[in-house]
Amino acid sequence: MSFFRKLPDGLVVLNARPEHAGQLEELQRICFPTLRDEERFRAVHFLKHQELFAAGQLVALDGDRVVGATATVRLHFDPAHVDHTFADIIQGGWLTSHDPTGAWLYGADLSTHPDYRGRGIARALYAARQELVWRLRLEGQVTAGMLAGYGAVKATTPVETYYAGVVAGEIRDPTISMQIATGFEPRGLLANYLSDPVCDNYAVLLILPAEKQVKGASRSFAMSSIRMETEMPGPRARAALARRAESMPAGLGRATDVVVERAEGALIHDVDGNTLIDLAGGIGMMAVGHSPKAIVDATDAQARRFIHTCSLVTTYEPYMALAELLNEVTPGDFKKKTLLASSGGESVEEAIKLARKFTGRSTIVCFEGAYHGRTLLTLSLTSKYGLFKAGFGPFASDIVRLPFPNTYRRPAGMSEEDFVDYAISQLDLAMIAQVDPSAIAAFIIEPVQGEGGFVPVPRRYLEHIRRLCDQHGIVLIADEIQCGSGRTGKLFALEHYGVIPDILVAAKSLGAGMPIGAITGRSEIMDAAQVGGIGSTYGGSPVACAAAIEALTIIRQPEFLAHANQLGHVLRGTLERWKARYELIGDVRGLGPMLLMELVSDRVRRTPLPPEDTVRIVKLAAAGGVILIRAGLLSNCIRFLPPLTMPEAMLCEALEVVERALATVTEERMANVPVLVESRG
Amino acid sequence: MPGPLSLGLAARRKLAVSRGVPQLTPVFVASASGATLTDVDGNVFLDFAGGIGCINAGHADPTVLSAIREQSEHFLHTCFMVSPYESYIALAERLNELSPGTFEKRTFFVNTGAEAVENAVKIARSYTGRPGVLCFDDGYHGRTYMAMALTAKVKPYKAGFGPFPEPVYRVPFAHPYRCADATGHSLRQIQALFESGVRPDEIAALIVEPIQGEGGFVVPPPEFLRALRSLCDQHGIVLVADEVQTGFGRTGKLFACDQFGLVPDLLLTAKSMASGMPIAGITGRAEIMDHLEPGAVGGTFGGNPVSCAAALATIALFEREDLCGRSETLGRLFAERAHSWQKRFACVGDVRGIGGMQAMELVTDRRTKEPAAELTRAVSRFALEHGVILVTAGTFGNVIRILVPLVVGEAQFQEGLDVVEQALESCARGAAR
Repeated sequence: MSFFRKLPDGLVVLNARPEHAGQLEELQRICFPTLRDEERFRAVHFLKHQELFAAGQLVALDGDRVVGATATVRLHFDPAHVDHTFADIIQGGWLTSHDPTGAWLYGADLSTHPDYRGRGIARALYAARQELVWRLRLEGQVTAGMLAGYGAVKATTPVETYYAGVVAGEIRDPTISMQIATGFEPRGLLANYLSDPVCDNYAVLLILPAEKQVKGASRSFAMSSIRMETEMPGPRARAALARRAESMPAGLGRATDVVVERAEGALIHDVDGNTLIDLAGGIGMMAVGHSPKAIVDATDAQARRFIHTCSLVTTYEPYMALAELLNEVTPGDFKKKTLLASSGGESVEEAIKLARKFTGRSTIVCFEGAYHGRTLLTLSLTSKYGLFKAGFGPFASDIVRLPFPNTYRRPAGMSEEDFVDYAISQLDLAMIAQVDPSAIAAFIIEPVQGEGGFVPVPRRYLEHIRRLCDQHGIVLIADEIQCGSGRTGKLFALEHYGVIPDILVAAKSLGAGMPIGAITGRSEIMDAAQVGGIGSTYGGSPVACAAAIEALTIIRQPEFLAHANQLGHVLRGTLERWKARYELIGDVRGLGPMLLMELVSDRVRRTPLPPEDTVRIVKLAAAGGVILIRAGLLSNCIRFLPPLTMPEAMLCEALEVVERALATVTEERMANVPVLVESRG
Repeated sequence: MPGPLSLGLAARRKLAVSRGVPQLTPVFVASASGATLTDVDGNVFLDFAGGIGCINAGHADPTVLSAIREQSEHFLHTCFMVSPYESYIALAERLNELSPGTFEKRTFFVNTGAEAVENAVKIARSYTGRPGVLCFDDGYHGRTYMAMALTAKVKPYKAGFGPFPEPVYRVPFAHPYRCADATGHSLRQIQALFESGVRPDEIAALIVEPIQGEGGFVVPPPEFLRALRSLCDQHGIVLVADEVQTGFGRTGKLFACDQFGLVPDLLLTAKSMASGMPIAGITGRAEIMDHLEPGAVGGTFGGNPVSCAAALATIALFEREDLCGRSETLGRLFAERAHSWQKRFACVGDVRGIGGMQAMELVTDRRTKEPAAELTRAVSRFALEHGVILVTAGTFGNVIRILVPLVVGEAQFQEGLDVVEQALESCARGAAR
């Protein structure tokens, strides 16, 4: 995570980069003319420092000009054995004394260009180092300050006297006094620290414990993850978005203007150097976080073996291992088999094919509010017409669509239990009015509707469907593409219900970002198709399988699920608190950490918040450094699909930004301020 | 073959994987490089299948592998629709630039050829406001429902899975080996359809593979595709060229359309685009592609960054190594050998192809052209036992097709062809014509 701070007078402090190496060497020459060559750093040394400990190397820039710098390493510091020399630390200039597990930050060098003295650069660099101490949770800073004023008086003053005078504040030493004023505590003299007549080779051991404040250092800035350096979108992002508009169709959805450069864990770094917290996870794809090392290594290792040989032509270990793993971990004790595809939509298509072949029937029952994909059949099963379906019909036949019992939107005055009873009776009626169960091949349902607004299916309703399917030989297909793979705090959402599907479809977070979909179900159903009837060229890509095996392994760890549930606990608590505070939150719902808030302009009538207001919250959040996406049939929900590995502190930081956005929109609505489409953070 | 480790794995596959997934060979892959595969028992095979045409650029190219590594260290996925990234845009720009047609174009990405087909139909329907799609006998477009509806062969691709989306209309392709006046016949059937079956102004799209892939590497006469272009122009039908198998150098030019002088309205790509990483593209006229409302098309995974990075590296590789040139060379080498086989073996009914996309159709009788499916299976089995992975094609299963990675060495290629020749000798009752 990179450091960047603008100083009041326009100078900038940031992590040193390779292109600064030449200027850094020059700065050393200017600042330390009395040092021997081997005691000064050269460009190659600076490159090595960045390689060893990039976060600990900082420069101060005036435009492109390096006008200050500091080089640090992490060390173990033993108060009982403090005697050391500069040479011990710098190791010929390479700073290989750096210990990545060291608990102290040792300042090996701090220099300010003579033309820039007195502008607070040294102070800013010490402050930056202290923020690094806080961010890395170190014990503090330690350094050896040169007794720069001693060389001039050494003929007349013993060093101990000089030192005592400086510590007491009676003597002003050009270097040490400033360091003490910054907050360093002197801990004794170091003789022969280095060869420099200016200080007669004497230095003072200085400690700056982590508990101490340093002027110009901000704990919250240090601990925060968000870094918004430009407006959103910044200049590079704007250029990319212009290229996008030129080369790609206008119809391709675009939820944010964040153009990604890099991502790790729950953080996204955009092309303008901004760092945002990702609460969207690429639409629920990143339960295990962006680019965990295990997954990157697994995909790389597999690619080096082979990228693709086609699961229809050959067989390979990753496909089988993933199939075996899914057969084992999915709900149900019966014999299972798995088929792999390249996306969620394709996986649903395969499941339907198998259900029809197995039963010899054609009708599929699906639900309002459902989302199953964008291929013609899955689009036919998908509910939201205006956004997803308009202009693309005619749609597939033999599909029956039933209302999905959304208890938030039950008729006013009806209890939840009565509402579920009503929904069940409507389902039974549909089994006469719309289709006979003997004609139904499958029910397909998302245990928690995703795009539909994180509506969990009521338990009794789901159990009724299971009974119906058992009674009439109907295949129950659970679409766990969004709610599966750890998203609800259990491996699969159905584990919360104790209902076993006949086929379970997984994708999204299953592959940690790689394109894969899985269809796992009862052997007799999975084997129903004729040989050659299912499968596809790319299906079960070896590289994607390798990623999925790692992802499942991570998700199944108890620590992962425990942490996911803890995040869920924090999130739900926060959303409930917001609901009490902000009128525009009509409902908070979900399962485990899969949570969402539905926004309304009238709590009683549950009138959906106008779309531009919901969009405004999302845009304000993005300007503040948090990526959010919407959901809901009425497009008035904000859903949370964070990487489930994110630290709690980071989640809290992100939620603060979201709350500010909620508060702003609430105020604007009260003042009836016309809603702006653009915003600056 | 299969060796002991392979047998062990075969048992695991049977238990874990859905039975309906075909297993065209019993090869259990351990690693792959260039144009060869190595199985878990250490047997090395010449890969004339390329994972069904996905490996034109070869297995394990170092520049592709390092592009994959570098991208995955940056990020594996963000969903382009939520937070875009440069590699997707760059790849779209490249396809817009390289594809046939000098008009302004737009591109977006999905994961598979079938998804590209599905999206092409959506786009054409939205643009024209019409419901119908026209497709061809022996056509193959994928296994999702609309793609399946457009796919001609019922067994094994469609049986038991219906009903299929409508309205879809099917007409004969132009198959010169099996039809004397191939172009004329097809065009007349289309006319007849338009007179009595459906009005042309109810057809949104015509989807065609410039050379049919699964259908048997059927090469239409050049005037056929041009005639389809005129027909589409006349009736305002969107012409969709499915270059999933013919694209990326297979025919000796980057796209087969360029071999035929065909400029489609929409071009579909997949397979070899990213050296086997899952990605597919829909490229087309800006005014058609831009007709959609924002959010109307997309998909979570589509154009995933690792595949985009692999695709950009693959395209660069194509240019650097002139893989299109190599494709032409391979085509010439194959045609030479195959024509000699045609002289020696009565079963070789037809030798056809363009560039590196070559095939031979085997028959039991040259006059009746009765398909020799069993013989074709036997040849492919023999080849496998002697170290060459071959896949077959054709509605009747009687076509041997070449989908070898274009990076194959000349000597390697001839070695593989030697095996095919031995297979013919061994399996056919070879007799001079």
